[in-house]
Amino acid sequence: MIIRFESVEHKLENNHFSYDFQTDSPITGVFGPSGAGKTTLFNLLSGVDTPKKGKIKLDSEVLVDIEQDHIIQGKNRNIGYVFQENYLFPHLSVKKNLLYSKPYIKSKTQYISFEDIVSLLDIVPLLNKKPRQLSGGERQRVAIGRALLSQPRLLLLDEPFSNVDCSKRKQIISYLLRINNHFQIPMVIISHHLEDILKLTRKIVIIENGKSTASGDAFTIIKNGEKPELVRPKKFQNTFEVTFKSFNQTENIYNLILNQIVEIKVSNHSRLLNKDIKQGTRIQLSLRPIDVALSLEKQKGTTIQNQLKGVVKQIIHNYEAIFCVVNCGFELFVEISQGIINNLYLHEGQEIYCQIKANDFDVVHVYDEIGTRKNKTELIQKYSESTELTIN
Amino acid sequence: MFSSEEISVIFLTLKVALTSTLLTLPLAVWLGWILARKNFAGKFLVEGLVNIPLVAPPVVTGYLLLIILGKNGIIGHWLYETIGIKLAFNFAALIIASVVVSLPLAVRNTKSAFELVDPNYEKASSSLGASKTSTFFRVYLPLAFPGILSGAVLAFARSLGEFGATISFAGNILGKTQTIALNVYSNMQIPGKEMQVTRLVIISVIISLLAIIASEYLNKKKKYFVR
Repeated sequence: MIIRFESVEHKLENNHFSYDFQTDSPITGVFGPSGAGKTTLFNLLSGVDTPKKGKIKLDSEVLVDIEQDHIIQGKNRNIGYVFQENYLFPHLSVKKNLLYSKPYIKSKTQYISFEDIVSLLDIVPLLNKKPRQLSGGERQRVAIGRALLSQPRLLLLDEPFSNVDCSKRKQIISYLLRINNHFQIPMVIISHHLEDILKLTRKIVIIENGKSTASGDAFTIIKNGEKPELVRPKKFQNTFEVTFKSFNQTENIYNLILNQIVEIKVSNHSRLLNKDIKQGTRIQLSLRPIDVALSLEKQKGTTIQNQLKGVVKQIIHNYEAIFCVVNCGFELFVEISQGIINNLYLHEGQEIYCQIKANDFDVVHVYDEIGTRKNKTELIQKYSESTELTIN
Repeated sequence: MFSSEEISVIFLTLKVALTSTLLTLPLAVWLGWILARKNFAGKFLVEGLVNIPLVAPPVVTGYLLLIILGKNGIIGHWLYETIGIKLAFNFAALIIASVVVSLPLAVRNTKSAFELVDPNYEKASSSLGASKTSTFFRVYLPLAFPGILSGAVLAFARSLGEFGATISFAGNILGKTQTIALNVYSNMQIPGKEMQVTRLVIISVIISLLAIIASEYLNKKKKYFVR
């Protein structure tokens, strides 16, 4: 799905907003500091608010064209919106919240079933509870489920990690990848934490001072010098999709394949992996730039399990730190210091070894059986075959 | 224990209070809703008119009703001449007086109940495909319900004790328009009727007390409910 904002302008009190970008990624991250205009962007896209100028399009459908006086009402846009504060209806049980949109759905567009949602998001034990009895992470999952059950063609999530603690944050990221994969539903996710966005997608739109200032692949935006400040210590993640090859029982290490050629060894400290995983299963990994060490030669007698040979592509200086981009069959951001550059005579084009411990990789998500890719037509067919909801 | 006169007075009072509460309720919900959530020209005027009976002496309200709806009143005369309807000094007058004086109490409660509901729920409801009407019935109304109910209880209690507007507009006719308040007032002036007065006063106090307790309980529940 292609989302297009063409010369869109909006004004709220004394704040001026302007958006001009397009994105066609399965998941798009909207990144920017607090108060930059990210939620306003969502309000304009979902129809909560109407811009003063410009055009908003979803694929070939024009949602808003101010010049032509064409505005599709929010309730007719078929866009799911998970608000930062959830807004679960406090007088309704979790189950009734989830089924709120049922009377407004045309059966032809129904492709997400109640059963699938409660099982994918692990909501079954919560069904009879009231929203005030839920934790932050549980509320977030119910809000996501409720939005999905309105059978949207696009899902917007405003700061889905803001009211949840660190461990739950990982859980929500995993749920979102699972849903995106299972229902093939495009998502746009707002966050002011780039490291969270990068675990979900590298395709981002940057919003600063009410304007969309850059959009596209985050790594490219950094490398081409548009926004070198995006890569910051502790605020950046290398992310890769790998496939499962084998499990080495004696070393308790998982062998994974990246880009079909690079073999990496990963330990299972997050406990998301297990030895029964089928060969070829897709796994999402992340790695902090600070966790990669560099050496000029391959080391012997070391505890480091991954020594990947690569070439220095670029050295990026910004006001906070220095990073080096190494190509080892895939691109890797490595946090370095001026001392390292001096000692190793680091320069672009230099051959180098990236040293990474197996337990420095973070397993973000394993695309398990339940998250097997399905296409929308297949899902609609499956839905129409199961006549009524079995869970009442 | 109660004489047939007392029973008929108690019965009439409860009948008036219940009927007028049932009529007041939809009106109070509508007025409370538009005053809490809508902006329109003349909003202050509507709010002022609704609240007049709360501050004006009830006798004045009754007198105003008489000159508007009485047989020779501005609207009353027309009604009598064209369709033969008489609104003063009968059961209808009792109900009208009761609705007018209890409406401001009910409206104040329903208005504050609607104001307490976070308008962002409307955004959430709309994003799930609901129309404004649907959102009103599925979100606003249930969330404001304890407040609306507490307004209804207060309207009921106010109607039980109504005296001034009733005596001016509906009169004090035994068996026709004489409620507990009017009966107590009439019998207070007759020697030997002290016991009848006392019995009706006790009944009055008990019903009022129950109504206030119910209203307070529902008001507490309203805040708990919205959170």
